[in-house]
Amino acid sequence: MNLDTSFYSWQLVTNYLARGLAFSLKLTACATLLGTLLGVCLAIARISKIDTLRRLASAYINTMRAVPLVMLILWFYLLVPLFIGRPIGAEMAAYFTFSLFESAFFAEIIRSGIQALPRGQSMAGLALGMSYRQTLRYVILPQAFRHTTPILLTQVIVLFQDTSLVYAIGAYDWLKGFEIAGKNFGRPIETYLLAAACYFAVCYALSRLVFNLKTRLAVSSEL
Amino acid sequence: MRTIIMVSLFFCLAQLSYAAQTESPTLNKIRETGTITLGVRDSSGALSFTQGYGQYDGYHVEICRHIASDIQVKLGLRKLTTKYIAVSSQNRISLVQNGTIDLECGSTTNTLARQRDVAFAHTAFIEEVRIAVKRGSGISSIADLRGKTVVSTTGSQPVQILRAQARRQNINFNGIYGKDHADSFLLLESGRADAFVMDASILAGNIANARDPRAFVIVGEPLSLEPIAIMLRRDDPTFKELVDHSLDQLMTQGALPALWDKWFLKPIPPSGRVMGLALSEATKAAWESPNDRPAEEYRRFHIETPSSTHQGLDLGIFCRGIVTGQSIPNCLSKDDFGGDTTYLHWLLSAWRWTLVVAGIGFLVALSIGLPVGALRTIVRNRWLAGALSAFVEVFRNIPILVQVFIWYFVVPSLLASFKSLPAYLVVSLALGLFTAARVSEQVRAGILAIPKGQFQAAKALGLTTLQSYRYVLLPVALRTIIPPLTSEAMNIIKNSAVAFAVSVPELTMFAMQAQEETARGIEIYAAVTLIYVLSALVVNRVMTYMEAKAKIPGTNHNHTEVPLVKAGPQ
Repeated sequence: MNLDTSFYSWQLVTNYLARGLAFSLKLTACATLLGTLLGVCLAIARISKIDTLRRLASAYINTMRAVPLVMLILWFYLLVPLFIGRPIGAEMAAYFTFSLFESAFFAEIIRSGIQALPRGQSMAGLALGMSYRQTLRYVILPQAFRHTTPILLTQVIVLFQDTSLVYAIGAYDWLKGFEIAGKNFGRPIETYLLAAACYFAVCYALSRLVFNLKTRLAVSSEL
Repeated sequence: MRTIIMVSLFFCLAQLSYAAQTESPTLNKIRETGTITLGVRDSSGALSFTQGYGQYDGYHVEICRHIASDIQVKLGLRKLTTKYIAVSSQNRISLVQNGTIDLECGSTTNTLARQRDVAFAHTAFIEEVRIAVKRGSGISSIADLRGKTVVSTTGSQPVQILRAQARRQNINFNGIYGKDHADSFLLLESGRADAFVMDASILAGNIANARDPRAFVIVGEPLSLEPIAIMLRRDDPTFKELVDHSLDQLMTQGALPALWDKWFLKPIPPSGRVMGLALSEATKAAWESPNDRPAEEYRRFHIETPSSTHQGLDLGIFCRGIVTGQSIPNCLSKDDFGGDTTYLHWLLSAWRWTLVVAGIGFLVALSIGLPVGALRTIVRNRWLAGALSAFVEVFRNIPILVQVFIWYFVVPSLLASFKSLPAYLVVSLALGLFTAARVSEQVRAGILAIPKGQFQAAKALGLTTLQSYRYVLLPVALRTIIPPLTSEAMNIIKNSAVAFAVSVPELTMFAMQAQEETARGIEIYAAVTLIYVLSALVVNRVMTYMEAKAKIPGTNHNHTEVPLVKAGPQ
């Protein structure tokens, strides 16, 4: 096979790839932030004393985890306009869907972090006269976050890879940038190979970062 | 830190609350803002494409710029800014309706159905749906497609046109779908399809771009004619009149042949390719008598679109034939529909494909992931250890969509024997390896979690390393990793949705194609979502059952107790 890489250039990056990468990063950042916020609420609801709340939260989490993300993106893009009476852009639909979708995954990770804490921690908090809310806020959640940060970050890497699924609604993400360049230059194979290399570089660098963080956190928690 | 979070939160909310407003008539809006917004495509052949960041060009884009300058003169504006917004086939109509764009200069077919939502300017380009084949293939007309593999692009009209034509002439062919035009053409180029049925300008563009353009030819009579027109808002007759007038002048004063030459016959950016699309009789006729007739008036036969006028949910859609679009009575009990099949049967066959791909993929994942994970805990050799960890890192750090594509198109050109592998096996393999990388990590973690003493005790008892793993470590490790394996099994069902990217007719492809054909997105998506959830739930139940069966009596693998409350249902 002879590859034609003559079109690999700085122009390719500035003209086609930069815009897509920016959107992929924005989407990842937004979904991480909103997903974590919503995820904490869901995790707390999932272990709440109130039966209905617990059931609702676990129903939400289980549904989100059983539906392919592509379907969810398509749903959101199609359904929300029916409810609010006007169409929403592909990018907006992506921000919403990814935040809602990731919140289910983050919720489960955070819940496992909370449940992994020794029961004595919450008892001690309550014994000190803190309220339920204060115990969560000052004792439980900080520790749970600390323990689950590496897993959360690993999920963020998966999320970054998943942003490529917005092709279904035609949003312009990083992979789309590669695809369009491939079409307009007529060299799809070369651009897909380049895409693989670029995604690998980013995700591998991130996963090394997470690995280092994990070792650091592990050491400091043993002290 | 807190400020950063607050700022980025604000930024996120600002993104969310963005929405287009503007309802006033187009010309007023253009006069007030001093701006005209053109909707353009990133990659619609020579009609409309991006030159890079914010720059757009093409036959229709240039015509739109001409219209914009006529509008500027008409409104007597000193300065008129032209803004470009890239649209996709999914959002172009809504963006015109809600006023985000004033003119859509892309590749939209003027149809009666769309005229309910938007208006179309006079047609300046008539598309012909034709057949591209490899030179010397012996295919020269639709009749030669009998028994051949024919590719078209998911969610496009030619699929339906071809299906209807073939049925009329009683021709059976194996239809497959590419994710987009470039993929469809790759299927033809790589020999996985014998013919590619699509709009002639798209065929010509792809052929022009190919490594060896002379290896392909466009053959046969046009299967259908499609008037491709500039789209604008409905209920704004003054604006439409102005746009039409501007177009008519271009057509009658002979400016269009020069534009045609420039975009379809001469080299165009970015790579200097030549479309080589000769001016068709149909387009010439449209220039001679400007009109905005919809596609329906060009068709020589009628395609039924099963779109019903039914308000609310219409589950009857599943009992309609995919060729005739007619309701078939007793469709649940019948098997033979006279060469036709229903959307329900198509859905069920798509489900089967999803399960096949996911099932084989999971087997691959287990048979590679288990040994790799176990090996990584024993191997001392630096090279072997490096190779194993490279395997894991490569397969889990590249998006599965990209991996599938590489296995399907790139690997066969390196390894000829791969070419004959059917698409569903290729996807199963890709999914399997992607999942194997993750499974191996879980197996490794499961083994490493066992206290060292277990392995030492086994060795002290005289077991070999292999025996220690077989009888002591793996039985314990495998039990502990059943829950994460359950999520992987559920994940692989969901991830199999990428199979549609290489034209396996599974659930997601069904959803996208059937939605396009029936325009009943809610019913179709609901059915497909339900099936996905059902499949994932069944997997979950089976794995939970296995977990309970495999449990060592007397041990309790319950999770740590829930803090603050009594343990709730997990």
